Amino acid sequence: MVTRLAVRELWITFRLLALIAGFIGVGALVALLPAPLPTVMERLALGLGAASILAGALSAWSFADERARGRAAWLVTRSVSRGTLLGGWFAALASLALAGTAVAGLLGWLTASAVSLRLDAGTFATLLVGVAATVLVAIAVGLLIGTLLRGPLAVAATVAIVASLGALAWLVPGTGELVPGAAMVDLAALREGATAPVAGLRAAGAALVGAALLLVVARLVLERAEL
Amino acid sequence: MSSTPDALWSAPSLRVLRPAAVSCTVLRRGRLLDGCTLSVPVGMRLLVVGEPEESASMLIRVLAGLSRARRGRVEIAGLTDPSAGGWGRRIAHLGPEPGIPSWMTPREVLALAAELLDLSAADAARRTEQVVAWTHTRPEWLDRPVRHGGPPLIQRTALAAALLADPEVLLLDEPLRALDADERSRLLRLPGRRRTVVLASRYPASEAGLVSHVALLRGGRVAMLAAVADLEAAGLPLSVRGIDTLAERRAVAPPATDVGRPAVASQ
Repeated sequence: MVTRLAVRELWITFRLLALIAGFIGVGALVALLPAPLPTVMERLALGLGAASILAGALSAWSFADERARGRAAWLVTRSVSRGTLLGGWFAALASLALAGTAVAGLLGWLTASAVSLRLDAGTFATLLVGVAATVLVAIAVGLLIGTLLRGPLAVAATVAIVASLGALAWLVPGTGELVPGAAMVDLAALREGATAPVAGLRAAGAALVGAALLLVVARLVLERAEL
Repeated sequence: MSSTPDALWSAPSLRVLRPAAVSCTVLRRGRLLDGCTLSVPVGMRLLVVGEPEESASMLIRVLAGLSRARRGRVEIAGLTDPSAGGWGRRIAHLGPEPGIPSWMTPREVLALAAELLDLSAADAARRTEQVVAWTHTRPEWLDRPVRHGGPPLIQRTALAAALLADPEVLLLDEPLRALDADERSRLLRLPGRRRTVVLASRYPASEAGLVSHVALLRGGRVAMLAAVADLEAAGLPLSVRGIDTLAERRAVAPPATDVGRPAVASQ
């Protein structure tokens, strides 16, 4: 029920369109601008990183708004638990963002396979799973910040945190796949020829653990938060 | 909706004992609640006024589960469990921010509220009809987004959704301020002898006729709990100043009539 309400709220406020357009726009842009494979992959990775930041920002904005306007309180006083509230919003945002990621990935794959026939589909797919898990981290960060801060401050803090994680993965070598954003870095570096899909799976695993931890923290914080 | 049969509330023993509908013990929450202890008997209509003003709202928010007390205990209808299986569905809260999505129609809001209460379709339809009639929500408004009716319609709808549960305890925090005073008073004169109302207000005069007792929170504690009739007997108006003056007088000379009063105040 909370998920249904959240999706409708996102639709009415045009945030759903912004979220979906952010991801699909990346895929469309990559498809519409002809380039060699390295450039295509870099554009795709960079675009998905930017879309992840957008997803995090929209999550923070939506959840902070939900608290500020008393809608979260309305549900909680009707015996909807705070955990259900958080889970419902996560499910709504995650399902939309994952659908967008899948479309962007498909467009990216079609573009890349038109440029090169030797791109490994398995590696691309696992890296895309890693990217999807990173998107979940961004959403979890947004929800956590949205439980702590209000409005624009929550958005600014989320953008700063998610962008910092991406920058850390990009700029600091040797972080392995443990830092969320590593999947984007690996995707940008994907070239022709068969490669092991281990990196993508490791990045996905690390990001999923990170997202789960963030949600647990958000749940604990929300339990004490003002509604 | 109440799990307590009306016949039980009508029992002579309960009328004499007047069990507590709302009870909080040594609540602490920053400077606003500092060891606040209060017991509100079943059926009491209590106005809570605070010094500072925000403390009354904070008490309502803590009772409704929207703010967490750092320490202390809340019991409603003798239960400490705030979930739906405990007292979650025995209370309703109406605050200054109704919390209704502006894109929803009153009918959708009431359907959602009924769904959250697990009401059967027949019960939901019957109660919806009742609360729509009580709140004077015009039929032509029912299927338009509440934003089209502005704050008055949003607040009417919020009250209707709150009453849908037929709550034993109604927690009101500056409710229905968007409505004109007469209409507001009419809507808040809720029927039901066993319904307990706790109302936080910064404008006590506007609550005349709606409440039977007043409580003054000062420094985060209940400084006084008195019947509105006591204010009138003392020649004091139902205002912050009047309540404050009565509290001062009682601090100097506590009235003998306080002994045996149903509501317990102060720690």
